[in-house]
Formats: sequence, C-alpha cells, structure tokens
Amino acid sequence: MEKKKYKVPQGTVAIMIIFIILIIALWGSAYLTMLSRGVTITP
Amino acid sequence: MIHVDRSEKIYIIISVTLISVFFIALGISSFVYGFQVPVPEQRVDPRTIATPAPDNPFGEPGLRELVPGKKYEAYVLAQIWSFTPREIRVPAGSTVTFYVTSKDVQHGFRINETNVNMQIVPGEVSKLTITFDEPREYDFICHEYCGVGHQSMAGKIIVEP
Amino acid sequence: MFAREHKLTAWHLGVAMTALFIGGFFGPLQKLEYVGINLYTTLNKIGIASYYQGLTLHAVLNALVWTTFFIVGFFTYAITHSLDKELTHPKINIIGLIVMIVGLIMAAIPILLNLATVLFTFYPPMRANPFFYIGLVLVVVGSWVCGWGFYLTYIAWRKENPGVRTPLIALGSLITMVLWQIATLGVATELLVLVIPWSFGLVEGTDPQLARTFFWFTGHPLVYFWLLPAYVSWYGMLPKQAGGKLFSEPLARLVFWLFLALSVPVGLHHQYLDPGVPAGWKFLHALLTYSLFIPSMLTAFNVVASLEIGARDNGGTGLLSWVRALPWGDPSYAAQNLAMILFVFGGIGGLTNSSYNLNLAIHNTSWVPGHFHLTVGSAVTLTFFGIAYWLVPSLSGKPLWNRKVALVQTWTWFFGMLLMGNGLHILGLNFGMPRRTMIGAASYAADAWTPMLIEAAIGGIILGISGLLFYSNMVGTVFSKKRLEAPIEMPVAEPYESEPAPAWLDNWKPWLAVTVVLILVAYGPILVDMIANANMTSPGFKVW
Repeated sequence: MEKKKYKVPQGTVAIMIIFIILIIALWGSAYLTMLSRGVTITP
Repeated sequence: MIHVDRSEKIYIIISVTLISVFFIALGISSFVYGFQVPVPEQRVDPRTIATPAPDNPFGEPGLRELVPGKKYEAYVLAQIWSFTPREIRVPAGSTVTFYVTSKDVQHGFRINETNVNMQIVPGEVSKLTITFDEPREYDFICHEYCGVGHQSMAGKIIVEP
Repeated sequence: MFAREHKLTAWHLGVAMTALFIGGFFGPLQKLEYVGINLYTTLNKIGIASYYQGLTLHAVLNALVWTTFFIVGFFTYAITHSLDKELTHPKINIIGLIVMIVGLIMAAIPILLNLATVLFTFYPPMRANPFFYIGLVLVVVGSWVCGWGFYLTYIAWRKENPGVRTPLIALGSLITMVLWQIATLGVATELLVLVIPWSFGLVEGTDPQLARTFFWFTGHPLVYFWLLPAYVSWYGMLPKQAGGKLFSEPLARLVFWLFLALSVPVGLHHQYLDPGVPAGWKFLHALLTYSLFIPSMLTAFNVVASLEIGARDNGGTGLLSWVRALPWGDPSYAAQNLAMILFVFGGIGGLTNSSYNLNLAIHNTSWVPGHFHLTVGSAVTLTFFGIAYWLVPSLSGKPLWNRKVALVQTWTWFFGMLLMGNGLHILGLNFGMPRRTMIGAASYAADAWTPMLIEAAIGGIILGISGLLFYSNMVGTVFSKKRLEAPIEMPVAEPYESEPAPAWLDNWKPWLAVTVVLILVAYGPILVDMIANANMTSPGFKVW
C-alpha cells in the first residue's frame, strides 16, 4: 500500500456532512407531516 | 479485506446509525402508536359486491352509526368514475373507520390532508380509521388511474360542529 | 476492431433516442394541462384521443423504451471495450436487437390506436389489447437475449484470462444485466401466466392483487436496472473525465454486488398501502429496502472523493472551492455532475418512499413522479445525455456539433427538473395532489395548489426546450461533415490504490447464492400463499 500519497478527502467529508444534514431535515419533515395527521387504526 | 479510508469508516458508521434510527422511528410510530398501513381485512367477489344482501354492507354503502357522535363506520364502494356515497357527514370529534372496495378496476382512496390513504383493489377490502377533531370539509379523491374520467372521481366529507 | 459492436450500439441508441423524442414531447403538455392550458383538443386531430393516451406514450416510451434500448446499447460498447474483446456470438446480439424492435412495434401499435391506454403499470383488471402485452414481453426477452451474448463473450474472456480481475466497467455492466434477467421474471410471470391468457379471453377472471405483486417484483429492481448503468459511468468513467482516479475500486465492486443481492427482495415497498398484503411482510421489505441505503451512501462518498482527487490534481484547493477546478466546460462531465446533484434529492425522496407508514402521506401523490423525475429523469437520463456527448462522437467519428449548446442543454435540464421536482414534491406531500391525473379538469384542485403548479409547468417548458437542444446536437453531430482527427476512446478510470480487489469481489457464485436466498426469504412464503389462495374473480375492463 502506498501510504505516503494517501490523503484524507477533506472536501468529500464536508460534502457528506451537508448531505447527511439534508437527509435528516427532509426525511424528518415528511415524518413530522405524517405524525401531525393522526393515527389510522382504532386506538 | 478491503482497505477503507478512516474518514469513510466513520461515515459508514454514521450512515448505519442514521438508517437504524429512522427504522426504529417507523416501527414505533406504526406498530406502537398506530400510524399503520392497511392490512388484509376481507376478501370479496367484485362481481357481486354491489348486490344488496343481508351480509353485504357494500350492497347499500354509506355511514353506519355505532356510538352516536363518537364512533362510525363508512362503507364506500368505488367504481368508474365515482364513489358511493359521494358525501359523508359526521360530527366533529367522531372516529370513523372506512371500508372501501371496488366493483371494477383498481382505484385509490385518499382523504386529503389526512393519513387515510389506501390502494383500492377489486377483490379486497381496504380499511383505515381516522378521528375528525375540527369541523371542516375534506375532499376524498381517487388517486389511481382508472380511465378517462379518473380526474372527476372524488367526494366530500363534511365534519359538522 | 469493434465495427460490429459500434453498429449495434448505434442502432440501440437510435431507437432509444427516437422513443425519448416522441415520449418526451408529451411531458410539457402534461404540465401545461395542469395550469389550464389544454392542448389535447388540438392533439385529437393527430389521433391522440386523451391526456391518458399521451401519458401512456410518455411513460412507456421514456421509462421502458428509452432506458432499456440505451442501456443495452451502452453495455454493448462498454463491455466489449472494457474486456477489450469483440462479441463472440454477435448474431445472438443482432437477434436480441431484432426481437426488441419487433416487440416495440407490436406494443406501440395498440397504444397509438388507443387500444392500450393503461399507462406503463397496466394494472389489471384494466385490460389492453393482447398485442400490447406480447410486445412488452418481446422487448424484455430481446434484452435477455442481448444479455446472453454478453455472458458468452465474458465466459470466453474469462477462459483466456484466468485469475485476472474482471475490469470494473465490464463487471458492473454484467451484474446489471444479470439483475435485470432475475428481476424481470416477475413481470414475465404476470404477463405470461395471468394477463395474456386473460386478455385473449381464455380465462374469465384474474387476481389484481397477485398481478400487482408480480409487477412490483420487477418494478423496483427495474429502477436499479436504470440507475446502475449511470453508476458504471460515475465509477468507471467519470473520474477519468475529471482527471482523477477511482478512490476505492474494491468498494465500487462491493456496491454492484450489494445491488444485485438487495434490489429484488424489496418490491413490496411499492405496495405498503395495498389491502391484500400483511403488515409483517411489508415491514420486512421496508427493512431490506433500508439496507439499500448503505450501497447508496458508499457510492456518494466514493464518487465525490474520486472527483476531489481529480480537482486537486488540477490545482483545486480549499475545503470546497476545489469544486470549481472540475471540468465544468466539458458537457459530458457537467451533465453527469448535475445529474448527481439532482440525485441527492431523488435519493432522499426515495428513502422517504421506502419508509413504510410515511406512504400514508405520499403514496400515489405527485410526490412520486416528482421523485422519479429526479432519479430516472435526471440521475439516469442526464447521465445518459452526458454519455451520449462522448459516445455518439466516438461511434460516428465526428466531433460534437456544438459544445456550448450541449452545456446550455445540461444546465437547462438541471434547472427545469429542479423546478418541476420541487413543485411536484410539495404538491404531493402538503396537498395530496394525485399523480397521473388530468389536474386541470379536476374539481378538487384547490387555489392553494396554483403557485406550485405554475412552478412545475415552468420546469416542464424548460425541459422541453432542453430536450430540443439535445436533439439538435445529436442530429447536428450525426449529419456533420467534419471528421474527428483522433478517435474518441472510452474513458476508463484507474483505481487510486494499485492493490487489486480481493478475489471474493470477482466471484459470481456466492453473490448469486445470496441473491436467490434473499428472494426466497422475502417473496417465497407470501407468493406461495397468494397463489394458493388466488382470487381469480376480476373480469377485464376497457375504461378509456
């Protein structure tokens, strides 16, 4: 393995952090929309 | 094994954690709290489903009162390109269980801006329950393409004070 | 060398692009109808009977014909060049192409005659003319035959090169074809056993719930059949186009194997709101669909890291400003990078779709076409445009007609999809607007929908213009009198690390075994139960 030339892809890490935040925000908003609309089986 | 960059390893662990949390959230909301999808209720014969008979509620679709002002059942029959009944009136605060089936092709049943959303498949009865808290009107609409008149297939729920 | 392969590729691409031209034509018309500009009365004069006949053409030609023909054509080129070996049995691939074209014509005639206005899902008991179904079967079978030609070539290559790792481009392409072959068993069973005998009137009734289940057995892996060729390009070619190297070649191989194993046993996530499927089976498929999140996330990291390597080698610096050092002036590159950005939103939407009870909020709303226009309509189609920008010059021996027009095309597609995708997602999630419905004529369409309907319509118009720019470039290139000075070769990305991938990432047997086991576990018991209790009570209906 050529350890020397190996660099941590810092920019990629930054972009992936943005990506994960987006996932949480967008998925979370759909999830909250569903929760706000009430249950669907007899309590 | 494969060499994986250290930052990528951390990223994979975060991803797995994230998706696990999401999955648990789905499991709890559906199986514990009751934000549940339709499950097999009853099988019927679409060729005779519209025929009135003592044991066939779809022969005479409409609202049934179980506990006045509190608990109702609505039997809705879907066909091209209308629902029977077209209009349902219930008092605010009532819990309504919808039973919907089709006498011809596939349809959809969605009470807009609520969680009542079901695929309507001939031969099967789709069932979901909802509590209407506030007085207002809701559209219920067919969301599965069912032919050239599909866009006109809808009805109204009127929640009265 | 490769003269025959290039000719085959050109034929597939030609049919694919013709299909997209006709199918794509209806896209802007649909969005204009949404805002009250109904052009279908004019179209009646050229034989288009309804919005829904146009929608059937849009869906079948774009989602099934454009994709399948382009993919088989691209793979004919990519597999042979990647293995550096001509097709060993080119006649098989010629027969495959002919069967596909015959099937396409056979399915197209009933659609054009308004005898099959059933959309691309053709859910029974809506009943089309039998030749529509037979035509679809032939398109699929023809693509299988082309796959067999690839496998035989690969087997011959393997005998000549024992112990050598299969090149990544060839491996990814072959895995995609095998995935397709396994996945389409569902729709083939639906059509051959349930639908075709019933459409000829040989049996009275059919079971719509069972038919849906067979359909979605194929329907979800279908989307990976569309997507994985784009991954072949993103992993195998794009890093080279960006001047970089593939960050982790072994992980790229692992991703293709994971998609093979996990693509099929997830189809019930399209049926979460079906009445005839038990909750436990739906939830199992939710878990398996969620596991596809992992290869998707691996891809995001790996591809972006590969591009970062290229950008930094080209003098890019900073935490994020290296992005500017990417070759944005190359339309083939720009198209694929923009496709990836749209796929971020397509992917998150897909995660939402696979999220079990979240379907109560979005199932069959315009959220869904919003989603798949960002995936198959953007991640896939825009990547295929990017591939065409080097592949068509390579095949024709002529330079791309106009690079600037190509750049404008990629950016207009990007913004058009962004607007339309955003509009359709919001209309679906917030307002529950139904998908594939003639909204302009729907009584329940509310005033609150109007801003987003307009946004989507503007997006649709921009996409229509973008499509015309793409076709002007393709026609301009093919009919150009200029010749390339040096032939254009397929871009092949080198791995960042020189160590070859471990042998278990080049071994079909364990992965095929896992694939079969997962399908048996996820579908075996439920399908046996549904078949044993089949409810063959639905007669056919013509509802258009």
